[in-house]
Amino acid sequence: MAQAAAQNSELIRIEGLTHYYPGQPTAVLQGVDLRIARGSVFGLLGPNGAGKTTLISILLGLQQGTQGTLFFDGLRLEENLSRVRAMTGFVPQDLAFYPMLTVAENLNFYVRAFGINKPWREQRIEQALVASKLEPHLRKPAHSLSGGLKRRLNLAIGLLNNPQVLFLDEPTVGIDPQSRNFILETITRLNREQGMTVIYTSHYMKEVEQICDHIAIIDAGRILIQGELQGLLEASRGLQLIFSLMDNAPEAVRSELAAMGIASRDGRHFISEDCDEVSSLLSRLMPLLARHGLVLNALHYGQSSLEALYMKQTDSAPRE
Amino acid sequence: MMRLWALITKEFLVLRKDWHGLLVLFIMPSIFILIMSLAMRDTFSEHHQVSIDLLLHDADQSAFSEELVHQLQQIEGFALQPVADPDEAEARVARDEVKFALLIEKGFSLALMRQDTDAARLSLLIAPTATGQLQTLLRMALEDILRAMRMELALEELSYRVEGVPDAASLRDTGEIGSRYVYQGEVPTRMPTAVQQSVPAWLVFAMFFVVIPLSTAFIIERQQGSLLRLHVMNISSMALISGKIIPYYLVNQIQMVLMVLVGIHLVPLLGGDSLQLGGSMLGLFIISSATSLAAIAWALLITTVARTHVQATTLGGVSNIIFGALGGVMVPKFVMPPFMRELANLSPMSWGLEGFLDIFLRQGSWQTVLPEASALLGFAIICLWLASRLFSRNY
Repeated sequence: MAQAAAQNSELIRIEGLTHYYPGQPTAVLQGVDLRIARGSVFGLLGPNGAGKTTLISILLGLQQGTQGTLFFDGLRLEENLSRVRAMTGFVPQDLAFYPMLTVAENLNFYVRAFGINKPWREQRIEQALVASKLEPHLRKPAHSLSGGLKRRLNLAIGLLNNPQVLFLDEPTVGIDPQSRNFILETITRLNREQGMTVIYTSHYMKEVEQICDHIAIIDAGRILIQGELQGLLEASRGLQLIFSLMDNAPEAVRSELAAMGIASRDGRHFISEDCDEVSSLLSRLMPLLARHGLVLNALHYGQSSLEALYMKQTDSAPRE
Repeated sequence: MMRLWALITKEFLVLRKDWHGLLVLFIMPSIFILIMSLAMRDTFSEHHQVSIDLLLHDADQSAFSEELVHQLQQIEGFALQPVADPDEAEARVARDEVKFALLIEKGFSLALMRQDTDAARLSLLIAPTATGQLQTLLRMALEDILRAMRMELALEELSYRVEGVPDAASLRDTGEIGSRYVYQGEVPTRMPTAVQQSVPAWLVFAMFFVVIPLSTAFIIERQQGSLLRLHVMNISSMALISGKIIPYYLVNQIQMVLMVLVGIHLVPLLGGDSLQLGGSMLGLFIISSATSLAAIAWALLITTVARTHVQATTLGGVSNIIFGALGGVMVPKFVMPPFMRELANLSPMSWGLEGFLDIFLRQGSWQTVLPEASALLGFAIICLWLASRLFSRNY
């Protein structure tokens, strides 16, 4: 009940955020409006270059937006940066610690760099160690840890100041499924037990579906869709046929496909929603492609998923 | 304050585990000081002693040729080696085993008694590698002895005819020429030696080499996101930069103490002279601090300009070598031609070196080093200003 009440209150509100990098004519963020509820696990999704990193770095106060307003727990971010940062934890995608130092030395350094007073330091380190299960590795140099343990150390450092909100930038890149599951379970537990708000960016849609309760999809600097994950999935629920071609389809083929209820954004990637009669559709699709010498690259048929929602919302073409 | 202390102790922890950095900071300059102090010992000891090997073949075998040899032996710095065969003497000079050979030909004494200066009865064989100064020195010594011998003969002949002619031997006495080294402050026992030159030179060089560990650590922090993380933790750019300046300043002071100890204790153990400290510890502290701040500021500027630590170490290493070569570290400024000496003044290492030499060699006071210290601090402020502007843009 308390958690539900907490979830209803707004922790972060962004209004009309636009940002230009110096010398760039195009805005990297264009009028972004975003709400993040307290106690939620919020997934920020988008292809490379969509504006996720810029948005996160503005939220962390590393740069200022050109226009727009940001509120953090009801406080204007620009005027309360130190206060906001004090309640924020950050786990960057890079392994942001000192490889030559041991796990204990890294934790000792960061806990003091957070400005945490001596009586609290041991307790904070202890909590971070329990959360990350790194106790057996305290004396090992960080560079000698496995990929999964390094990710756990990266997470542990982000927890040292006992943050109210934790930013995680692709925290599971390049690790085995066991370590990934451990990190995801840890994040879920922190959210459930401590009410920690989590802002999570990842390209792994399964992960986002597994842990996030709210999402926003951003592309080309605009928020395309945002809201409660289950609600968004329900709204787009249905059988879908998604396929891609080896080459771009000519305009004539695209027109014929459109007449069959198959949409495309870029001429290579196609989607048919509410596709209950797939046999009938395929019996018309395959001869059409063969007639024009077009070869299938990939084909997926099934229930709508976050991945399908994401592909539908964003331009499916690969990014630079 | 707690955060700054955390940054400082972390820097020492990282440095303690960086063996390459420690090698560059402490072992490299110690070895340079030892090698250069011993290798340059004879060059610098021209203040005390010069030893010129000279082969000697005496074909005349007369009282006069023996007198010539005797007079040459009296002059400090000539090591005469008699040889029986003039061809052997020529061959050894040609092989550069010795720089000079003197051949006294038959008829030398006769020519001397006849005051015959046209016919050369002395041949000086010179190796092509012999320096102009040494040639001049030997020629002048020989001419001086010959002139004196002719004078003695003339006076002797005159004394038979005229009374009251002075004793010829008294003309050789040059005791009325006194000499002494001049210092700022009066310490008449102090002599410029190789160790007095090489300790400050390689100390300044080593201080500037903080660029290697500092830039490596800083750029790795930037690339791995640690700097970003520290920013998000409310640590200001000023604290981050101070967290580098303070530990490396202490490293530079440890370097100074260590290099001075090498100069005082280790160099004499291997046969070199002992380093003698100047009288002004305050002056030493001022110039050491100013050099350190200039070196660290330069390293920070390199770090912010370079994108990778390979770029930083290359840029830092090459610039240090140029500063060192130009600034009188590798080649002492006093052997440079005047225009190079002017050029040397562009190098901050030259300012630091001159400041240390003011203390170690010229017995300067703390006021003496103020011009060099001010130049170094000015350089440090400019570098730090540029570094902080670049740093806030690209952490």
